[in-house]
Amino acid sequence: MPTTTAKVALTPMELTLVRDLPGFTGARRFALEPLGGPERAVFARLRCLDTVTLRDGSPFSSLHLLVTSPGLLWPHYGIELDEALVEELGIESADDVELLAIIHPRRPLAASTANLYSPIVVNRRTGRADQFVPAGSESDVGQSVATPLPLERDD
Amino acid sequence: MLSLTREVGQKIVIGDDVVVTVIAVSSNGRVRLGIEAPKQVRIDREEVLERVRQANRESASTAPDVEINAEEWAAYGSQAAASAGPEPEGD
Repeated sequence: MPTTTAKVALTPMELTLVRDLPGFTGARRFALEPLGGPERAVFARLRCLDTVTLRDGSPFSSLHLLVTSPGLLWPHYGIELDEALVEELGIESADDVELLAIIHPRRPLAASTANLYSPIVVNRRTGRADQFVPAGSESDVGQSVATPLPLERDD
Repeated sequence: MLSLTREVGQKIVIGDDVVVTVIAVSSNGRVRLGIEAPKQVRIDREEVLERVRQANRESASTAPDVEINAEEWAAYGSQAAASAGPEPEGD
């Protein structure tokens, strides 16, 4: 199922990942907290509500990530969802789908990048979600884990 | 680690419902595998998954800065939406 994200602002919601967020054991439940006014929120804090450890078992306190809805910044962005993921998330139509790209924040802010390679796929009706992991070399989506944000650089 | 020798066409069974078949072995050292598993079993290439894990860890490690600058990010969001540009290029 091809996806595009509707060009609307991010709204608060609770997400439940069907698997741990890769790299963080136990990270399943997240609160999506938009930054800025309700009609203009392009970025959001994705705050983990679970106790999280790294893969070596060491604790990772207060996991939170900065995310954006890539359709807001890259109007033609989309990924091809495989059938298994569509079924697992209970996605019934393209309208159910919200994509969240994880931002790597840097200083200055305009040097920050977005991971368009493996966005988090969300069923916005139910909050069920999973981070998309491309199948690999044969059907690579051709996006980068570090795409520059389309921002004016004022530094 | 368990090490098994298999020939093309032979299979191994993992648990009750995962079957791995050796489909082809090429002269350049590539092995083509077929994997049958329930839909909920995640199957990833290790290097692809590791790339995603590492990107997540790096993004989380600098995220505390966001807490301090939430207002700045909100303002940047407004600017970004206004200047949304063409498709990004890949790697």
